[in-house]
Amino acid sequence: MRLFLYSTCLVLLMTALNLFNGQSADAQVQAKKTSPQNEQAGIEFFENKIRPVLVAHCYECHSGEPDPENASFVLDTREGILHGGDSGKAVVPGNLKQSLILQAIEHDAEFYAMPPDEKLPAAVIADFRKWIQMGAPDPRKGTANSRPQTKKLALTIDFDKEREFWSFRPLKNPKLPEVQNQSWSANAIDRFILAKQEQAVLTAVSAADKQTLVRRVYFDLTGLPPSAEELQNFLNDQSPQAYEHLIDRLLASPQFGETWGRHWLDLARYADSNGLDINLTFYNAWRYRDYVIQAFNEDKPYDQFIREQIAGDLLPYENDEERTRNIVATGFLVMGAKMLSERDKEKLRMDVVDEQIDVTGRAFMGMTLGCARCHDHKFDPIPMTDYYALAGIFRSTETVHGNRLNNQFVSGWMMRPLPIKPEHAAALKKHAADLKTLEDKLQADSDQLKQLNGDTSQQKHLKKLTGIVVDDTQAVKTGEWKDSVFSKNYLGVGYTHDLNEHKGEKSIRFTPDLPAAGKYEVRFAFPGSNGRADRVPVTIDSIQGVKTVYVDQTKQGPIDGVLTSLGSFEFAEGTAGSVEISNKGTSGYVVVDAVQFLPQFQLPEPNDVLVAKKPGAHSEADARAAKIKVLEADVKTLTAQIKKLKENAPPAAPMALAVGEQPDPADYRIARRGNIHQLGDKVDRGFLTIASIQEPPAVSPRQSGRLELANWLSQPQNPLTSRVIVNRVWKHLFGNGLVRSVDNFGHLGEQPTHPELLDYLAQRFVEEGWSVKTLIQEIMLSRTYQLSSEFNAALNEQDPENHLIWRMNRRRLSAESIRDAVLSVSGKLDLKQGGSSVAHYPEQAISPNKNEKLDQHSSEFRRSVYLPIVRGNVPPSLTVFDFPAPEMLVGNRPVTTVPAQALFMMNSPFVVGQAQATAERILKDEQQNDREKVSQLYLACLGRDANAAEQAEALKYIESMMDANGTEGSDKSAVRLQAWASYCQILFASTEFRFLN
Amino acid sequence: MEPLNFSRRQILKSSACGFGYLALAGLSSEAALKSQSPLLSKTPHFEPRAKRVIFLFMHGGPSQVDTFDYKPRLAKEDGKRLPFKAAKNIEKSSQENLRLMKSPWKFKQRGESGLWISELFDNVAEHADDLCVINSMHTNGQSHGQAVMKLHTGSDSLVRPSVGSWMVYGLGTENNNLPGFISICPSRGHGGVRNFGSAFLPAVYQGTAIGDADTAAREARIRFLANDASSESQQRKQLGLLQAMNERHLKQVQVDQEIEGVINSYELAFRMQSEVPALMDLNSETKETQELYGINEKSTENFGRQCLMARRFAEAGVRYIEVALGNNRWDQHSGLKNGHERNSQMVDKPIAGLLADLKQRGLLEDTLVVWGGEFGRTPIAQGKDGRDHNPQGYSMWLAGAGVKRGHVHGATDEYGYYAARDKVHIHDLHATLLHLMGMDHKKLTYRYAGRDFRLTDVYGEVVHEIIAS
Repeated sequence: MRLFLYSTCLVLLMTALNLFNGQSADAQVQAKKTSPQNEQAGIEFFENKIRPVLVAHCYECHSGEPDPENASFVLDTREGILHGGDSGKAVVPGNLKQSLILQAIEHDAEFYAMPPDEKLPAAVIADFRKWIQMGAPDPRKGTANSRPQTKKLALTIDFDKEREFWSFRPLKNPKLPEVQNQSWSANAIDRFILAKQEQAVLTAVSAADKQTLVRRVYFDLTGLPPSAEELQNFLNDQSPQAYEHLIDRLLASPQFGETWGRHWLDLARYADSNGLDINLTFYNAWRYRDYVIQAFNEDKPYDQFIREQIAGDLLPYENDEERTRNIVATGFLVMGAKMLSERDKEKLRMDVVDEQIDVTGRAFMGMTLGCARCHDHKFDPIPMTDYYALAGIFRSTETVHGNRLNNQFVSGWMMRPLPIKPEHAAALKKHAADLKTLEDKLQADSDQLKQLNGDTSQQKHLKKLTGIVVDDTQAVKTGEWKDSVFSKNYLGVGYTHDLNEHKGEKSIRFTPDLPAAGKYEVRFAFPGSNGRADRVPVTIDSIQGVKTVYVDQTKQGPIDGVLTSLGSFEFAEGTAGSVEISNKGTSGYVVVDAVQFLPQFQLPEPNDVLVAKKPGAHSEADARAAKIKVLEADVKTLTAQIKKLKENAPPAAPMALAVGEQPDPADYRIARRGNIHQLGDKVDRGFLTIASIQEPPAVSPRQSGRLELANWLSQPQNPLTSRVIVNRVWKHLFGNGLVRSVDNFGHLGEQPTHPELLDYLAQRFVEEGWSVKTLIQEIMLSRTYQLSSEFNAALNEQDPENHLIWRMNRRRLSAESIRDAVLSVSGKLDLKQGGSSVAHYPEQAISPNKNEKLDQHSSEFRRSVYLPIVRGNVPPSLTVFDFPAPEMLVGNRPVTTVPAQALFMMNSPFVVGQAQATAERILKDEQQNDREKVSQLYLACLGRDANAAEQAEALKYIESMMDANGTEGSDKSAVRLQAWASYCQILFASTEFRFLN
Repeated sequence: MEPLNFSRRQILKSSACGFGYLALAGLSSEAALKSQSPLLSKTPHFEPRAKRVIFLFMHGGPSQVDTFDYKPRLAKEDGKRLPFKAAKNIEKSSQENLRLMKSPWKFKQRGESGLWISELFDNVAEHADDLCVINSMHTNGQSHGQAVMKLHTGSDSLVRPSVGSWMVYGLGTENNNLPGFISICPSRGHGGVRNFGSAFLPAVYQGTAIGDADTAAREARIRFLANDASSESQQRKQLGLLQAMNERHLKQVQVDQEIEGVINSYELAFRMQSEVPALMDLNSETKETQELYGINEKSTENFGRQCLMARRFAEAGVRYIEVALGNNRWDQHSGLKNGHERNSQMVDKPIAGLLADLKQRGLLEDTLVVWGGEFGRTPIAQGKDGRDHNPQGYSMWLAGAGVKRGHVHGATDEYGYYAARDKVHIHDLHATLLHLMGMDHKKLTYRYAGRDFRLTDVYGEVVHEIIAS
């Protein structure tokens, strides 16, 4: 008995100690040596309670060979269950905390929930706990093959062998192929094309006529049709250099950058708002858009263009303009759609990193790297380690930044101030100061006015209180008390506080003038909140004597959030009683607002409030009214002044969507199966192994590594970079790339139709200083580019996909070109360049709740590249013709044909309106006869003259429309205009307008 | 003036795909196949149970414990502390003080099946024996945007094709004169157009919006479907010359499938222009039908119109129709009592009307109706009269083609917080919807950026338990 007591006490003592140590009793249970009987019992327990559960619920996935995709370890052997998987040991005998299997079967929110479909019954989970505490007896034998480490897998890629693949091969200058037809080729490009055609015994169609060619060149270089005049000029120019000169001239026009910049913006997933759920406006994205346009217009060397977009902020610069461009360029990395409301902020950051890796990989290298987030790339030689080498670089880069919408759950993104001219800065400073002066004055006047009018909510609240209320303004203060309106839960015109100093030296006495003797409930009003004193002495002096109570001011008063009852006390009539608040012995601010005396009996006269009762003399009331009048006038003037000042504000200080460096750059760890909460081995920051033909530059430990990445991407030896960009350029000029999967140069992409030509172009491109304009010029001067698009049944039979380029592909105009061409014909096109299109947008471009319809904006008739690209609200004129979703990188816009396009051409106010404008324009010229007008329209819309039959057809149509619509007495000119407008619309809607030969 | 080429139109109309006449143009059959409409009705992977889906989307997240998930223990322990850990989305600072809040509404057992449904859905409850309630839904995304996009696209952080787009991609449409996927009055926020967008799938598979959540249903239109400037006869004339010119262009270039396609698209658009407004014109419905949907009453008019339009589109062969009570209306962080009551008042009768109408027309046999929000709401109180987001456990219901009737699947814990038994993740629901439409969610893939994408990513299990035998 005694012994028993003793041991029980010991156990209790140990338990108490364990608790004292802050450890659970569970963790302390030791895996003690067990006797053979216990061992037998343990195994029985396993066989009865544990094994059946494992078999029924776990073996389906966790048995046999570990499957790296699904279950990285097995539970069907003792070794397997002890060894565990990626996350750690499944079972540690005797240790409940470290046995991860428990976390899993308890469906711990931070861990895996197993079995996934249904939580095991509580009794079964209890059995598992018991079993682990018993030391996890388990008679099963057999070995467990754990999943091979990712690192080892990485080594299984034979990079040398992989570099035999066409896109990973080092660039070499290919020999010009021998061709039989010596006269056909205009330049080297043609030799490559011709050689393949000769191999296939195929002869290309003839060259396009000048008329076709000029329209093609105009749209390809400027995105606009030639005007009738420009068309005629070219057709009349008989010089042999006419074509070459035309190309040079158009390459030098500002519209070139707008068109080719837009091609790049498709890759940069350019947008003027964030998209996804918190669709905040990107007020500064336009700077990046303008930067890109300018880069193409200036023919910025492409390698530099890459460096600036990846690491512009880290590049040296010579002046403010250069610095500005460099910072703005990194907007490329910020442009992605971010799930700003994601509450797991590390996940948000890594999702952004993933997007940056994806975009960088595809835009510059045609590599789909996203696959390697969760596992080694299944098709391309990209191990997970390469992905996390890049992830370290982007994770060390600041993109997600700060909070927005005053919401702790809503993240923002990096915005960086740009260099600012001193006079601009000074103007901004002055403006801010002026504004503050005016606004302060307005605030003060309005406050005073409100008080005089007595219409603040606090004053109203005070008036509503019954009984006798003494406000702090009428109390007698000892020591310095500071008036405040900081906390809003006060009564009257404010409250007062003790400045949290000179404790014991300050007090406030409230003396009511009570209308009758009797019992009153005394209530103390103060704006309670954190940081205030928690034990404020309040002394009530009544007939019953003097009593001190203590009040906690760290919380709001329980009555209406303001008042705290101090109890009921007997008072004499008049001013004999009082309530005094002191700051003696307090720590924290003592706040005092008012004291209310609530009679517990029927008052002999009507309830009245002391402050209200205080009758002012007539003169006082008059003075007050006069003062109010003056103040009202002041407020009006000030409001007007502020409005004017704001209207004339200097432009805001320039800011850019741009990345920065994290203060503590670091390598990242492999996230198992992409789960950032399951991190494995660290990976040195670095680049793609497959594309590193030379030793890649080492990443500085003090920087993110973006600079090195930028240099690595843009080095001539990178086998992907130059191949990818020349192919993109080819694609925009021919409709198809030499590699048709322009964004995928991996094994799942398509093979190049002309690998030698691709390499020739890439090599030339680098040699020519990465000049995009030179490349375009060389391609356009080729005979291949100048081929007609005519159909040939035999050739079509032989090569229906036109892989050998036996003719130019007929191409649908892009959404932008269709819209801009319509505006160009109607004469409404506004060629103004650059600037913001979303300055008038609200902070949330699209709110999840009610949306105001935004007014039409002056960008209405500007070139399409300047239309606001709000994610989720892209202008229909663009989306209807396959403008890509601006959340996604699209190097090859699909060309679809859907009825929505037909509806747009037939019914949209845009097309109807522009047809009308075109008719007005054409009818204005009274010198032209109707036939000439039709010709004029044909030239403007279709780039060719109308033949006689077409003219007749047009006039017949217009006449019949006029006949049908005109009635006796109707406005003839209006009817005529309508008929012509109807005809113009037909031209816009026609296939000949929409397609480029 | 040449009238429309009627023989050509006749051919277009009579051929299943509208492109059959290509064969007449002397193209090889392979080329003809290539140029066939991508919307051509396709054979599913296996015999489908449903031909179309009507999804009634309750934006904002209706509370499960106030609608379809009856929790007597929640009422019993009203005001008590939550006896276990709250989910991650609940602010840490308030974890201490979480109080259970009972439903302000009474629950009753309904129909033969005895399903528990609260008085918020008294009208829908009349159809209890047709409902298949899933009380163990769970999803990802603590915020609306994430969860709404997860529900619509299977992804809570990336732009992906929406469920309807996958369906049309997999199955094509039944009516060539109509879009295959229609979203009636969708919200503009929380993903907005992405929730009916096709993302990387070709644009033909994207949903067509009718109006938006800021537009009254009676004003809702398909964009550019009507031309206010010219009459139908004028347009017919205009189209006549346009097509004559287009045909001439085609003849001149001899063969061009894209130009072919454009010519066909004008024909189709012109037919849509007359057919769709007729479909959307609810005046052709009897007074009884209109009343069935509550169109005669102010509170139910809007959603009633949406539901009736949905039935008409379903009848006309549209594959996937979403009807939204949009603008985040169910998001009652406070004012639960008034808010949920107002919302249920707006939708209860119209939904019941829709079910009754589908049933009486035999459409419920091959139409699947799905009801639910992006997540549910917590059984714990937020403020005095509100509930927070709850992706951990919530309810949705299905009715009609292929699903069990008067059936409840899965359960949350005793308080209705976490999905506990037979959990159904939103990926599982997606897999199940595709399954009911005759498709294997693992086989319905699209290659983009070097990967074969699926609606269900690498997840999703078909919930066979809810499928009727």
